[in-house]
Amino acid sequence: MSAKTAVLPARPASARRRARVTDLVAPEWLKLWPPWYTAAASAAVVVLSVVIAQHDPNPYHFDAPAWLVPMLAAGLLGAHTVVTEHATGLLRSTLIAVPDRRRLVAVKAAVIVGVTAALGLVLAYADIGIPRPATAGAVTPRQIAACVALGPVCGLVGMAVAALVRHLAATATGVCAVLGALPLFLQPKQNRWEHDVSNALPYYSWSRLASDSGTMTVPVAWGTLAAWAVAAFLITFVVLDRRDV
Amino acid sequence: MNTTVVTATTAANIGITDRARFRDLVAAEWVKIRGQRWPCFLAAFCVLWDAFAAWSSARHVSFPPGAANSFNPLIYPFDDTAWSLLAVLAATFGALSVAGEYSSGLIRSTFVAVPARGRVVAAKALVVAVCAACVGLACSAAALPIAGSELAGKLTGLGPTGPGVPIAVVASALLLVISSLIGMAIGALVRHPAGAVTAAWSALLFVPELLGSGSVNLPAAAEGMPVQLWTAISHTQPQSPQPAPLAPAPVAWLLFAAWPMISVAVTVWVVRRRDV
Amino acid sequence: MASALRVAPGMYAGYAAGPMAWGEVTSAGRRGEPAEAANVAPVIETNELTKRFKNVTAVDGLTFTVQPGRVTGFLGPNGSGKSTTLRMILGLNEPTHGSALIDGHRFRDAGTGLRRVGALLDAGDVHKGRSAHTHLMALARSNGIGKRRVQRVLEEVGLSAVARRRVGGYSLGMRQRLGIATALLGDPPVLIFDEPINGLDPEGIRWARELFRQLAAEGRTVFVSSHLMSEMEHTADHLIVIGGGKLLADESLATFADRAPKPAAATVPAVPTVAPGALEAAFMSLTADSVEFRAGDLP
Repeated sequence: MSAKTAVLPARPASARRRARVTDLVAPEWLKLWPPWYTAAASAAVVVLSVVIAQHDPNPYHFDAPAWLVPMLAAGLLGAHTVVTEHATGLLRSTLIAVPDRRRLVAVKAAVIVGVTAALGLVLAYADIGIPRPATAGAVTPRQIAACVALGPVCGLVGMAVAALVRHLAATATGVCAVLGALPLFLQPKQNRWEHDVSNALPYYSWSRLASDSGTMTVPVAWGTLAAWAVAAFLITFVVLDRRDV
Repeated sequence: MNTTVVTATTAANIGITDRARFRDLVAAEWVKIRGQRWPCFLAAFCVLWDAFAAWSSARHVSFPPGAANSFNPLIYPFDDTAWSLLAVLAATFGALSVAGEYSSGLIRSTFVAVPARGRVVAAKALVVAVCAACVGLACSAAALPIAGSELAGKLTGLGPTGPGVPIAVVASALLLVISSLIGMAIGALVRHPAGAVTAAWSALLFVPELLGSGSVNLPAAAEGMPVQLWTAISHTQPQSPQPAPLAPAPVAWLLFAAWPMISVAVTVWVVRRRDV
Repeated sequence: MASALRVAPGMYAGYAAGPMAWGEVTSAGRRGEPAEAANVAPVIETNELTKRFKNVTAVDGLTFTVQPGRVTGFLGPNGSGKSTTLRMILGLNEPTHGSALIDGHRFRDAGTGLRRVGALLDAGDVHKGRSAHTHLMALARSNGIGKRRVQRVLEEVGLSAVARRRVGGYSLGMRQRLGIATALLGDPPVLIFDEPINGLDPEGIRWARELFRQLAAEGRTVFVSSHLMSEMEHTADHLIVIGGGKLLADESLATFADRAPKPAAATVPAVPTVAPGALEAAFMSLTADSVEFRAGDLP
């Protein structure tokens, strides 16, 4: 009987125990775009933002309400990386492939930061390209930097909301509420504490940096944006590390 | 094992062509909503939010002496910012009631149980609208006394029979009804819960905000949005140096009636047309 | 729990007992009336049923009839169009050509469905936040079916102990039982099951098999789609086999099993039973050309 004996392939000498970071980034990038509406929605956001900015009768660059659309889109993109995996159960397969949760979260965050920063840069240059009256003033590097930073802040906030609320619809509601509705309902008013609270929102900090509106000082505005980003990342990090999947 | 002798049960059930009784469909939809927990929390949050908004908007108001009569007391309990959020939450409720069924697959069981899709949608719309109206009434009932007590001594006219109060209460309840039905239409078009929620928030909050803040220059569209129509009907526009243009009252009522009819028609058409 | 699973001999005969057993199921005041035997025939018929999705033809000119009083198995490889066919029969998808009729009418044209057709398409078609009891009550209420019937049906499938728990916490077998309960809710003359025994333990499989045979013995039309050949051998009387969207066979079990390539020294069985494994061999040989998704051979 010439039975075939199964022979296990010899383990290659270069087999690694830990996944390389570059190996982790590629799958996260690939998982970002399907289903088809994610890529389509991102493209639509870019087009929509440019169109709105073009028809904006206000004579300033980086006028705040029009940037609500990219803010939301960045937040939802960040939420998408986390919540779709939870909702579909894909997270279990991912964690079996890459058991080190901390690296996984770090890589996801890095991919989101990269993508949203690029989105912010593209939109900033699109906005600059639109001719405005001379009263708008010259565009400073600080303004462009603020636009580039806005995307990652929103994306990380989206990830944090998704990590806390693992349900699809509730996450979408949460991201819309935190990034979009809070600024509308907590507008800077005369009252001292309401004024401070509303200034602490990323929307108003960014407005201060990008279009010089409001009374915050520049370092405080940068600090607020940084604080939101760091806090959101830490929340995502800790929650995904600790919770059962 | 071929037998054509059927039992009494089977025989009586063959060839049944009963129309589903509408009240059965409505009862079934109510059971579906009652069986979930989040609608309850959402309703409670709405009432609390409106109470808080009424309190915070009426708190630090002060009028120059003698000029109190020219201020409209209705703008405090019926603050348009607060009620925008309520409208959005109502739309979320409507959107999830449809999109949730599609995404979980329950819609298949529902349409096998009752193939008449249009009637199912009508029953669902009725239940959703009634829930939204009840929440709207509860919110008004919470906001009016709270605003009234904060304004006591400065402004009057917020009692149940005060000028314009009944119309404002009715219009507010109708605003939530309209928003929830718009949400249902969005949920039927975008059958994915997260997408439907995002579309609902965009349509009812962000788009009107963009239109209203002047970033997008379409004043006619801005006037036609549900919250703006509600403001026109209930005369709750806050004083400001440059008030946003509002549609005149008869036109506003017309549009107020048109929104829900169009939404329900769209929902029924989309649901009947598409494969499940 | 075990006793609830065992089908007592007269358990379903209770349905035939007339108005008393009908107490829970009313339809605008209608009660069960004694049957006119032999001229009622709750058949499922399809006629040149075709469904095209863009450039893929999922179902191509299917014509068959499912007769009452026997269990008809619906077989086919993965991707052969079984679920699409069932959906078209139930009015969930619109056919591109052709028609599917139950009792001479399109399913979608009537008002209520539970009393005409009981269907289990996908055990996951439930909202995971609700309890089994709420889920069944909602469907029952839409057809004017009462609470007692819901409880009765939950007892029959063995879920009454966990009826108030969230469906999201159910195991696969429990969800399958809930799906079977949904199909039984209206006591219908036509029953359609798509992969009903997925995830059931051996006790449950035996219960399901006896349930299907009992339902067929009462004169109902039972249409079961499955992949498990060994189960089909024991359950089905008649088979409809499709492959690549086309009808491949529509014949009785014994005739179908005869297609199996026979071993050289075959003994003629004394009673017309199917030789073990014959059904699987017959199925494989018939559908060899229409299998879309074939696992690779190991080296």
